[in-house]
Amino acid sequence: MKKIALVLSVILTACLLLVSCELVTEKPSKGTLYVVAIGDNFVNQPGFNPITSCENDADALCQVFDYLGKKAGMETVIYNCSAGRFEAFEAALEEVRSRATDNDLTVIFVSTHGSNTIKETVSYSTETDAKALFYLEKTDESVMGVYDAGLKNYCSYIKGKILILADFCFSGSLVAQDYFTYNSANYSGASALSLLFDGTPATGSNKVFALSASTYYEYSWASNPLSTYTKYLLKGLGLENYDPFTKQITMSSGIPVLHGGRIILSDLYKYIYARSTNSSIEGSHTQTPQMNTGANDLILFSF
Amino acid sequence: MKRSIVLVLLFLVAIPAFCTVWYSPKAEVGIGAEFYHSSVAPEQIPFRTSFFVETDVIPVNFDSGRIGFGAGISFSFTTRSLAYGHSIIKPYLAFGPVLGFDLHFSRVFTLGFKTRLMFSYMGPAYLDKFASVEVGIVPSFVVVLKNRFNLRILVPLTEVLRKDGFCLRAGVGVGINL
Repeated sequence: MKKIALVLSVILTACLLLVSCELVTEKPSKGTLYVVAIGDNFVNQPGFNPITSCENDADALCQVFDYLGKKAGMETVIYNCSAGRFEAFEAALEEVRSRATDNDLTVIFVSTHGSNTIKETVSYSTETDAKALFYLEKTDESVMGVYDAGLKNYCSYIKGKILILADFCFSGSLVAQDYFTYNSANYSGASALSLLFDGTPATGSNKVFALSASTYYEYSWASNPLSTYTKYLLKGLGLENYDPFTKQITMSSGIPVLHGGRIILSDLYKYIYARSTNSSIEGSHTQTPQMNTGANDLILFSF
Repeated sequence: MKRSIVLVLLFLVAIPAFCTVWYSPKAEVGIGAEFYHSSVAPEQIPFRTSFFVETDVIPVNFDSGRIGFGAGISFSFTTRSLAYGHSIIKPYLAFGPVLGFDLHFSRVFTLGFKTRLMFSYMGPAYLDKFASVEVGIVPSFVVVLKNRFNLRILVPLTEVLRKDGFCLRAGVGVGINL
């Protein structure tokens, strides 16, 4: 029995020493939360139906993340670029690139139209929306075109963790491995993500994370001022109501995805998935949101 | 690969023909800590710590008193890692075949060797799949011995080889032979 006790003691001591990686290493600071959000309603732009929710989405998201960031003890820096469009978005990313440190979290949110075909009539500069998230480029006076070089550049140089939240048609192809096989450009979403960032479809990344709608849906303002995917995203984070006229949010008393004092990205994904795929709630507007693969997960807020 | 499996199975079947062995199915349960090191995603700390529970059910096990061979099924669940900064590792479920080889140094002490081929499903939806190979040594100490039945304390040490890195596992467990 003495031998047994000795061996067990050695093993358990070794375990404790290894466990101490997290426990003994100095805790990093909570860091700064940067939010760079843009919503484009595509009003008065040829080739697209105008939509009403995108600017609301960006506004509500900025307010919710600002609220939660402060509640979690983080410094928050919010850039709502909807009004300033591409120039403001690019300037905000540039500023984040110069300021963010290893302990910071940057959230990049895009809500807009999406397409998987070349929109020659409106001078879209790319063939797929898989690239839409990565860069918003002004191709003429009014229309934002897209291609993948710009945001890759920013994400490579922004320090800390990056979370990309995408709400537009075909945005699911950013994330899923076998998503949208009917994509006319045959552009694999996972390839899109892995091409841009430090991971691969199989192994994922621990720097850049992504949650994405598959297809964009909105309701009329009368029933809901937010797009379907963004609505569940924010409700999961505790949004009770967003008033589109006063632009004010109301937070609920509890946060549905708060577990053990933390909000973790995969819990948020589960929450959105359960609701947006439920046809009894969404009718024909169901969609299948996507999340990046890999072993790493992201702690959004720790209270 | 197929040839190797066939040879191992033939070997297991042939053992009773050449020496005195008995059929001794066994089951083992262990808990412990897993230390994951990613080779693709740089971390601020070298290892991420999770906790696991694993079970090996080995219905095909032959033992001669000096050595033993067995084959069975293994199941495990690994929790989310401890948090560090904005980073945490997802939980996963795994199952797969296990092959074992035991060396009995005395009536009390046995050194076991195990190889598993595990198929894992990662949270949150348990849809992301990955495969891993696990090799381990399992020192064990008999604490209750009654005829062929014995109850053992195990100290499993395992290395898990994955596409995205590797894990070291250490823990304690109990096992019974019938």
